[in-house]
Amino acid sequence: MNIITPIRSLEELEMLISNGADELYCGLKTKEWDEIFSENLWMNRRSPDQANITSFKDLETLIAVAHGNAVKVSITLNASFYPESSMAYMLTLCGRLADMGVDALIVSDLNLLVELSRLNLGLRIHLSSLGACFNSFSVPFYKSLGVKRVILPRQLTLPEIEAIVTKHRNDMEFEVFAVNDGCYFEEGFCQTSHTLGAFCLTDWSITPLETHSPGTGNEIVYPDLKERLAHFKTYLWYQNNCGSSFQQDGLPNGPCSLCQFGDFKDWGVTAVKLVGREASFHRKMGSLQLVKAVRDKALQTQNRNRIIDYARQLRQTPEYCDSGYMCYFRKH
Amino acid sequence: MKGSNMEIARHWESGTTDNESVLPWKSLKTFFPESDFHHQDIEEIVSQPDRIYIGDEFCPKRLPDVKGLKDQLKAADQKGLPVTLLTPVLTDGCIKAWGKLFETFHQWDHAAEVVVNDLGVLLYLKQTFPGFSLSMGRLFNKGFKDPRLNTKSITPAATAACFNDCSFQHANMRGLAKSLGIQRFEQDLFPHADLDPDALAMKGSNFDVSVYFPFGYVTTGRACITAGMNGQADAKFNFSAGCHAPCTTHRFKLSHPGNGPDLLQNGNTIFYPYTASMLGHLLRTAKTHGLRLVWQGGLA
Repeated sequence: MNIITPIRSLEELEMLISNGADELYCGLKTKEWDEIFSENLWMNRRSPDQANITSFKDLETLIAVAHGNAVKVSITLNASFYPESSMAYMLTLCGRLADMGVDALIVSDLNLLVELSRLNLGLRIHLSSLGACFNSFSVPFYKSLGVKRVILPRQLTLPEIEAIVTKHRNDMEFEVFAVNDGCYFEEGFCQTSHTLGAFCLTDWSITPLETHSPGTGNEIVYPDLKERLAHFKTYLWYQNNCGSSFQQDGLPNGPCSLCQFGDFKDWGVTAVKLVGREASFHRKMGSLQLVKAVRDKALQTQNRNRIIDYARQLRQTPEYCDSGYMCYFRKH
Repeated sequence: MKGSNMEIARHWESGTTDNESVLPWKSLKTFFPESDFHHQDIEEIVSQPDRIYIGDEFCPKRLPDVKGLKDQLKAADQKGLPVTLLTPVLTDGCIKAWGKLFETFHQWDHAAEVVVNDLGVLLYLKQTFPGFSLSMGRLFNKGFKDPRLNTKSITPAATAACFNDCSFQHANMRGLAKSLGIQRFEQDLFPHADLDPDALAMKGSNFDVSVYFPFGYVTTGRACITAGMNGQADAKFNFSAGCHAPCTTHRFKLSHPGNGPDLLQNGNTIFYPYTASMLGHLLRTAKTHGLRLVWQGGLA
């Protein structure tokens, strides 16, 4: 079970490889894209300057060093939708990436997937979590488009992941989220733009509409509306890496699936993913150390409870774990 | 007045068999100024539907059970109206659990219309009930809908032009839909797009087109603020937990701290209201280009 880790600059490269990254993924900010669209339209889901490799020369170095250490490199082209006017450039870019020796492209837009399957550039295609593969019935379809790996969405439960992976593990690779960055909405169906900040973290003023039950109003049914909404804000806080906080020992807080690594290994999950390309050097390093420790434990023992105990011990925040809100994937 | 080619569908939400109040104005006026709403035109066309929509696109917990489905089909039969079944994204467990629902719908009409919003559901239905007439739902149609966007300030022109684009406009998507046996595209009016009748009707594509109104959807997911406000502590934001659907009676207005428009929270989904010019454009285009309009005023 590989660990796939985000990278945004060459400064992180040695740290990530020496701490056990088996695969790297990164986004790109290119001059050509900016000339057509400016930074008002992002090429992928993360901020051009804060989360992406900004030169092909750096990418070339990244690939050379990674490959020298038997580490694979994927590129995120994971906007949920690429306008028709961008498609010619996107395909040129994909050709260039293939020539540079990139191993895989992470894609969600069906139009781009169809184009890439026609072009057959010799690159592996990984279906982004934004591709929203929520059941096993869609897997053969993605395979027919040349997809080699499906990154499963965050909003699945454990039994649902098991159903998909165990049915198709012999003909498809699967990757699941390991740590960081929850998403309140299902990103595959969210039509908001991160260019304006996370829509889900908007501090809405929420007003109940008149209830459809005649003669009553929401104000009567929910006299404690504020308290009930506080609960929602608590959930958002967990999704947002517990307010981007760290444990006392410096390891990062945030949503995770560490306790479930034993299941993932047994079901045949290919890779566990660290989220957060724009995260700091420190958060990336802590996240990777955390994931590697638990992944290695999962490879050493068949005892699930031991893996869970170990993960919780590393986490040092039992009250967060017990809330249930820290888990990407719940059992029931 | 209803145009000769246009079709009107009404969504019987949440297992209802009729909406006595066609225009739930008390709720709608929160989002639509009365003077701008084309009130009379809408009331006139919506009161004479040609078709009924049942089911739900956003939450499997809002699909009817078999008894509810039979009641709805019976009620539609009594009105002599055909029925379209809306389906949301479904997991393996949900597909199995709702198999009986699909079977019942299939028994009622082997060639009935089903709107799919998930590739797996699409492929399952094609394989299991090949007679169904399948439509591609609006969750497939990606584009730019963020209500916070101030499009007037967007440059350069190439970027601004992207607001007119969406997945269903692409030849690849149309080719894919055709190869999957899709006959109809279901969509929203995109909030920042130019009001282009031919583009909206997908002229020249050979696909039929439906447009939902008076709301379009912005975002959705399995985490549900409405269910979360009511559930037991360990069931909140737990996707497997049961839900007694408080969303059927309780909806919310979301007001942005900045300048964005007020939005509607219905269950797990956030919707934007169409502006007066969008509604006017939609009504005109439906008449001239033979669109199907799907009324979802009951969402508010």
